[in-house]
Amino acid sequence: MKTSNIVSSFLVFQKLLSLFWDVNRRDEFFYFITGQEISPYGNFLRYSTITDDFPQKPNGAARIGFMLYYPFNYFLYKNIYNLLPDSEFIVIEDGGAISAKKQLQEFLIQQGVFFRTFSNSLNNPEKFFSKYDIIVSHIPANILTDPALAKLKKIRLMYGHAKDLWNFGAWNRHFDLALVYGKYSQKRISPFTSARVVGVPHFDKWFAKTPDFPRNETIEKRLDFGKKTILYLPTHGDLSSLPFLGEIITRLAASYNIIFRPHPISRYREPEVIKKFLSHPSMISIDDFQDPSELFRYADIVLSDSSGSIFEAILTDKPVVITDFLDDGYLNKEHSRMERLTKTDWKLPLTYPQSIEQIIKHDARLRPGPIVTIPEQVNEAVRLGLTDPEHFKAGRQRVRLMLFPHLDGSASQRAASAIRGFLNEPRQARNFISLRIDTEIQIARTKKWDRLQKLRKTVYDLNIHAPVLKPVAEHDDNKPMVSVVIATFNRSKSLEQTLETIIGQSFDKDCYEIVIVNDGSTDDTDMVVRDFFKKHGRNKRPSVVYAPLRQNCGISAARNVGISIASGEFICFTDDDCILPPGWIEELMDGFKRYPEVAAVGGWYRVPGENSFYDQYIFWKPLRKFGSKIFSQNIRGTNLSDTPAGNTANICFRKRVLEMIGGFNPVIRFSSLDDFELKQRLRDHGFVTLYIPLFVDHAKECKTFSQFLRFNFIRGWASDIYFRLHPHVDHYNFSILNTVRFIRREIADIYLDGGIKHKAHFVALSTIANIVRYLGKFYWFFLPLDMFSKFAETEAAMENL
Amino acid sequence: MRDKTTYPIAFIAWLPAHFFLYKRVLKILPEAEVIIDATHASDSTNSSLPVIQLKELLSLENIPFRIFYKTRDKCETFFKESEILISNIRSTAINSPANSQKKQIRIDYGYSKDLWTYGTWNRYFDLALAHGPYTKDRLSSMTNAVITGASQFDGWFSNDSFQHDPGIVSKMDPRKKTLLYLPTHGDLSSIAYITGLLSQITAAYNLIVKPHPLSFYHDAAFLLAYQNEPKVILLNDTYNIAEIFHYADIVLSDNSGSIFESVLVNKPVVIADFWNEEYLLKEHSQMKQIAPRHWKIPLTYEKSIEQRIKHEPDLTPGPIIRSANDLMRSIEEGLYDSSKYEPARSKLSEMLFSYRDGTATNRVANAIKSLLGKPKPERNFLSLRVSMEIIRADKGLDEEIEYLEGLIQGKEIE
Repeated sequence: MKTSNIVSSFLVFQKLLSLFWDVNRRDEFFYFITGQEISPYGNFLRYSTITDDFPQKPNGAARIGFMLYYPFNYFLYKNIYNLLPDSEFIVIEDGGAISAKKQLQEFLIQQGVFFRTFSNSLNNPEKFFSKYDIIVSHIPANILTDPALAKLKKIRLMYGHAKDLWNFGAWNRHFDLALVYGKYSQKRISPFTSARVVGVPHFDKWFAKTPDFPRNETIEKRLDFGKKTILYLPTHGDLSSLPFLGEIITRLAASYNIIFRPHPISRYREPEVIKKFLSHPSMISIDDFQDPSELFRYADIVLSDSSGSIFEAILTDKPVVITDFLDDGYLNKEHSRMERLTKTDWKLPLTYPQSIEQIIKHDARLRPGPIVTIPEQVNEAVRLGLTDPEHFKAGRQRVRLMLFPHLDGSASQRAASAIRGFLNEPRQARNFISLRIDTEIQIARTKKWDRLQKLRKTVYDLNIHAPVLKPVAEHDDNKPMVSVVIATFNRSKSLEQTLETIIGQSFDKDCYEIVIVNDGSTDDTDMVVRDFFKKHGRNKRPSVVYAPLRQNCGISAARNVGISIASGEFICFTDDDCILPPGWIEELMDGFKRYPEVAAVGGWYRVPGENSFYDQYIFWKPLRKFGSKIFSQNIRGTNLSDTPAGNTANICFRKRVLEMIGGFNPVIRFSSLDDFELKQRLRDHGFVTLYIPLFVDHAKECKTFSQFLRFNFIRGWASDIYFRLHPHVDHYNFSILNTVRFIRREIADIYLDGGIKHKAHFVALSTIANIVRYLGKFYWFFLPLDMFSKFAETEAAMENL
Repeated sequence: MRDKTTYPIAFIAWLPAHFFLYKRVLKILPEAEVIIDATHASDSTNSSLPVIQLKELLSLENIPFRIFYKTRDKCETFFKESEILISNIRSTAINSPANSQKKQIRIDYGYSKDLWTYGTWNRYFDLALAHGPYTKDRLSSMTNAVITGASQFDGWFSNDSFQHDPGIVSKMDPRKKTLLYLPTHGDLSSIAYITGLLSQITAAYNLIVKPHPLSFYHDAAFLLAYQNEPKVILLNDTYNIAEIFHYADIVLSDNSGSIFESVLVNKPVVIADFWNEEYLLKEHSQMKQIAPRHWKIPLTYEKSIEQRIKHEPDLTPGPIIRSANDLMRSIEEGLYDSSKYEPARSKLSEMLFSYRDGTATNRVANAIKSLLGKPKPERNFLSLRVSMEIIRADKGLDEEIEYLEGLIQGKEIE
């Protein structure tokens, strides 16, 4: 061969190598292949809910989708839906009233309407929403800003007045069009998006020539027709009158019928606040499945606070009594602060002194009814409102004119034709204010991420420990203290054994539950779990929760589902092929008792039977630093290498800690380094982990050379992901240079470790293992290999959802 | 330098250019002092040079000033006597929570880069002083805005005598026309594209180059070629741009606000347009850290005024060059066939600059004094909503930052 040929071949090879290298390093390529963003931190639990089969009744011709988060949303859209044959409802499975979704789906079936159900954790949003041209929503749900929906036209349907700071908030910029009640709302939304006045579609019935209200037997059965009726419609959160009116309402109930409809947010997120009202024997409580507009028919007077219902009372010309227990100082200070309510919800500033529901309390010309500033005035105000209903009529009239220009029963027609017209209109370019807000958010976010990374690195570098967490003893007796989460995929045989050893724990059976997440197994796992249920008995202790996923979502996503539905304050993980010692939970909990500052307590595993060389090497590798200590000592630490604890075959976390760090990162789909990636984030938050010399038997075996190669290849892939997620952790960076370094270091360790008998074998295995791990980075180029065919099938199955 | 104990009005500066922006107003406002925001200057430039230059300029003009270092000075005490703070951007000093209850005035400092110039950060100011209706329209949604005109250029309209700088004049060849090159900074700057033409330009013209002040710190590598070319008259930030226009027969610029200043003083202008819309939408919209506390941020978009003038013929004030090779021909066109651009320049002038009569300085001073002794105005509804949205967007990040800061400081965590 000529020298020039050799040189040109070498150059071509070099070019190909560099291309291969570049493509593999790019995160965009990762996204292209997996459809997942590489994201080191985030609340991965957010998208994890129990995912039973959803009822669906799709409309094949639907181009328009109405988003439902709460049952009552149905009534907002119903009249418009009836006019648009190419529309259907979309139930958002994991948002709003999660606990009532099943009932909502049944309710929609009863109503005979078309609907589909979208789940953040299971559906590919791009595929799911591809059939629609327009989606209509009344609130800014997260899914609306998903990049996959960027090309969809989005319409906001207004759903009430009050709380202007929220109602006309800058989030309206995410919509291409807003359908609003009148000029007042149009003016306030216009800075963010185009707004058209249509009226109030869900109150059309009130203005029809021949109103046709169906009889509500639940209400009528309980009404005393000899008494006047108060319709009590409080708002939610800190603006609600509920905490002030408990006693007063009880007294009023003696003289009046009281129909009580709590705000949906109170119903689902503030159950403690509404409990005594719902259980009051004389009060008629209305659930979320009844049309709110029809309730006004039964009202002689409406009692409210800062709720939008004030304006619905005005719209239907009902006398109204308004409570005003919060002064401007409160609205400007306490109310304007954001507070975390749950892991995903915040209390937001909703109103301010110039908001419409505050203005009508202070502007005498707009006052629609008596305003009460102390709870004791309510009785007298109701009496006044009922005996002299004309007294505030002029105020009501003025507000009506200001807010509701169309009182002709045709709002739904106008809304439907606006939506239909918008189907054929091009999308408008985003307006300048929206662009400016997004730019400011982008600037602030980039700087905050930068700050966060630096702080995390400081915590890491300075080895700062988290403070003492809540001691073990303080737990709620009504809930199990410990949840054992087991995510399983196609291992029905070993799973049965594992479950038996969990049932057989010596720990108090009332104090723990078993959470089984079936990660879309295609073998008889489902049958095995259901048989286990029958055998174990539904009401026996420990209680068992079963979450079957429709498709394989990967080990991390499945564990996150388990975390989300677990009730325990402590969450133990084991694998579906482990045999647990009877005192497993007890020993783990004992670790928390002895070391209350720790976030997690874990042990390690043994491979039963005679171990192959491969197993011996794999077992030796992560534990070599600890030597015989792992059999006898407790080891605490924060650095990854301080303590061996972390393996998900044998570990227990405080649930609060898992919630704080966001659960497992679902980018890691296979069972390799998923646990150490989580441990990395524990470390980055400064949490302490405790290792105890507690072992489970784990059928994780490598008997053959090909199994060994496969194990290391997957580990190489996982290492690459790990390093992309946490670039400051260099020991998962399998560059050529590092691979050589790792081999060199391991060989030195092998020769220094007196416990290894066949050092030459170990040296050979170490060299092969590290080279294969290096090759594992190029996973995507090895797709045709059998070891990943299952993954490819799963991806295809997900696509077909 | 201070000869009085209290000054209720404080002008905040962190680059010498800011001194020239305020200079004329300072001369007629004895209640005012200048605060050199040294922290912001050093965060933005990674250098102490701007502070040294500012000190010299202020001392020469005998204007009272103080220097604010965030780490040294307690903000509450330092600004105790200041009733009104005036700034062109949200610098470190004005952004301090301790100053949030002070009355704050935003002074207009030029056109271009609308995404930044009219950004939502303007909502923190109680009053904005605008050069003309274009700015007023865009700022009114965020705060109260009044038109005052561009005070820095009052000298052009009030027949002030102008003293030529012998240092500059000595380097100029009186037989040649003079090209004043005023590039912007960062990724929107033409500075790197023009280097190859320097000898060609200097052979035909006097070339005065006054880069954007930040270019001296962030684009220094590109400026080397200009420094090494002996015929280039390179001016730093201590020269007043309003005066430098006197030397120019024609101006060359790119995405800089100086295009519009050229229009204001009616100088022919050639504009470089080497960036397509896709660049503005993609690469330019990415953020990049360029100094420890300084980021390249998205500044412009396709509808920003300096982009519109490149694509809307009735607003195009001079020849547009899409390639550096067209430069020499376009300079010729600009110099000798500029009349066709007169209507556009005139239209732009009307659109952007009110009060081209030498009265802007008085208007600025009066607008500032109108807030003296008055309560701080309430923030408007849109501004409240924008604030809420921005807080809402990243509350989770804030929470984690607070948690980790607490952890590092050893605070007790709930």
